[in-house]
Amino acid sequence: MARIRIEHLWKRYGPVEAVRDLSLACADGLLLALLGPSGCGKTSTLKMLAGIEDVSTGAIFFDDRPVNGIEAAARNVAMVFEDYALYPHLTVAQNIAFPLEIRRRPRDEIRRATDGVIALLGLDTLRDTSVRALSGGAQQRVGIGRALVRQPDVLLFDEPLSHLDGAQKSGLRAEIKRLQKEAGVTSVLVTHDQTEAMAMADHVAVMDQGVLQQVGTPDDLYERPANLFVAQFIGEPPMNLLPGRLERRADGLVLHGPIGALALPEAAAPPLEDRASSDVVVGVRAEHLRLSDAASGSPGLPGAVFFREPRGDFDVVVVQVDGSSATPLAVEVEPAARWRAGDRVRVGVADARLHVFDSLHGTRR
Amino acid sequence: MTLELEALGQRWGRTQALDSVSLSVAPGEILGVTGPSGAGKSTLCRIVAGVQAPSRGEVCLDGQRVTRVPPDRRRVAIMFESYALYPHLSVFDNVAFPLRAPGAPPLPREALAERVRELLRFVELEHLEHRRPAELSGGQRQRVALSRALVQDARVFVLDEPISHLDAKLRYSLRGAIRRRLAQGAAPTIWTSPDAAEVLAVADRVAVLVAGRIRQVGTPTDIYRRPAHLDVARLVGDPPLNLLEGELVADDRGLQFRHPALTLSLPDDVRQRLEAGPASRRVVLGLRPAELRIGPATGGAPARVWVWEPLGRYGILTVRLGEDLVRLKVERGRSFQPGDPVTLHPGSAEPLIFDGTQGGAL
Repeated sequence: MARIRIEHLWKRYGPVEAVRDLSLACADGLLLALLGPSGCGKTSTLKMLAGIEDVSTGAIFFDDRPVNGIEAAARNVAMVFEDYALYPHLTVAQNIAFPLEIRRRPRDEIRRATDGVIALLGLDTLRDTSVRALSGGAQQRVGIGRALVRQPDVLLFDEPLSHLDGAQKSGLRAEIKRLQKEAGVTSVLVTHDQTEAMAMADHVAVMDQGVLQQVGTPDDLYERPANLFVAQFIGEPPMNLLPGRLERRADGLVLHGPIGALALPEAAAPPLEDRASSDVVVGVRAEHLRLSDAASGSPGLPGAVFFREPRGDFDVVVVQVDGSSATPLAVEVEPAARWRAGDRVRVGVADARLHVFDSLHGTRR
Repeated sequence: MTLELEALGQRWGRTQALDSVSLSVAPGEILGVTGPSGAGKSTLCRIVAGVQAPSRGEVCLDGQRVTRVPPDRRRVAIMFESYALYPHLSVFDNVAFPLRAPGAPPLPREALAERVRELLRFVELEHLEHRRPAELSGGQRQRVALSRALVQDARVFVLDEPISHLDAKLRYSLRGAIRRRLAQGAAPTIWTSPDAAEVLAVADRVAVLVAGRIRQVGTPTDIYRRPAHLDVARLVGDPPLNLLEGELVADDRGLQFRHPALTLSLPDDVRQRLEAGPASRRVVLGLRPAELRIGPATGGAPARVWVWEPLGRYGILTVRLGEDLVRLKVERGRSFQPGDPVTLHPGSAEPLIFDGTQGGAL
């Protein structure tokens, strides 16, 4: 086990700056997710942690030991790959034992370690099965077993769930998190999928174009996104963003923007007061907007239901605001709610949990 | 235009890729088809497009059999899961290809270019029209293939996994935009995805295909609320329905579901329905993650926290109940540690019960 510390890390490929001045830490036994779209620098960072890629400038420490100059094989880092990378001609037990076999560990040690990992993963009944015969989810569990058997200081997961579909994905996601906690091994997860990062990690580092945008607990990112990029990346459907100017009126606070004038809840006013009459982007999540009948006279932006997406426990109704070509608004409703495509509605803000960003820099205010 | 598939069968040697698949798609309707890989989704698409002839059954358009009509005369626009782009052509020429094909209605040069560019703007690729497919990312290639299908003045659209390789944000915005675009026309559409949530969000009706057979066809609400088979229950919902094996026991208190760690009295209407049905006592109980509750220690089933996954709006709590893992959707503002004792309360919703051997809903 080890703490990980990354200081002012840069990675350059010729003129391309893949990672720019990244500083991050992961405490002993925790799981840190590196989250972002393709090209954000997360995979380059993972490769530098593994020792597969050289560091351009900056430093990486495991505990207080700098590992920049240490080659991959000597770092005691294990990796779980996107495509499992198992040996197809070997059984489950042989695949898991493999890293110890090539290190020529004593036979009884190999046996003990392999049995321990097989029990931890619940693979007992499959131990002598060829990995070729396993489902994707079971193959990935073998991949994790092979990584754990060496008792690595650091475990690296490179998009471990991206080849699995729906139910298998959510099942293995929970299983990996549980295993990681049980084994207590410091881990770094690379993923482009915000749900995966939020569900599995103790801390999530959101990256874009090589630059760290925010690092925090999953709840931090959801409740206090540091900028517009994080606000739109975390949460599904993406947060609604409304550019405009805040204005104090006798009857409350109003956002004036290209989509019209939107009254904001009184409870939101005090923290927003000092931003009045400046250009902002107000972010509102789908669950904090409310629909009412166009004819009801309740306050809100007039518009028409564009379409409706059933999601099971709730539905998302997408509304195009009248006279606006901006991205339509996503509003969460109960499955029993009656709104249908084409209905005339008003969209109002139902909750004071608003996010206000600087319109120029996109940073949270 | 109405599309009808009548008892389609496809056999590859001893494998039955499709088995008696009958479906109909109304004008302007999107029929979603979902199922695990190998379920037969792509085979179905290829048969509708005419690039493959079925072993049995018929494909009909407005009542006319077209099963043996070659693809170029069917006017079915298909987007292949593999994209099938022409590597030597630019993005623009790939999208323009079906408009220039022999048999396509002739279009003036300007009109053709406008139509192609309109589609490229729609999929946010207008800046890449001169690139070749090899110079694009996977997600960009998928969008080229999508525009090449949507650009056509087709009688039927077949979209085989149209957005599965795009990032989450684009997938969300594009599926709404495609839905809106298709709804303006009168062509029936088949839209497949292994991700049940995607087709349930976008389609008017959804067919669940498992091992070449249709397990259920219905509106998204039907599929979510009343899965007809265990195979459907396992594919639908995030997280999917909790499935507990147990047995039905009748005593003086009425009919009960018994699981080693949970006993549930079944409401009278459920009892009456079950008593009229097959005699199998081995059943599977389905409990919705959003309807289960963590509550007071009395009147529920004791369980232990296995793992907690916070997801912002809500979190998924997995608990161990006897030998089973059970998942609950919990509103945010709480946090749980592995090993914490909790008491599980089944919600008030009507329990879903499936036949333990056949898998059908009872």
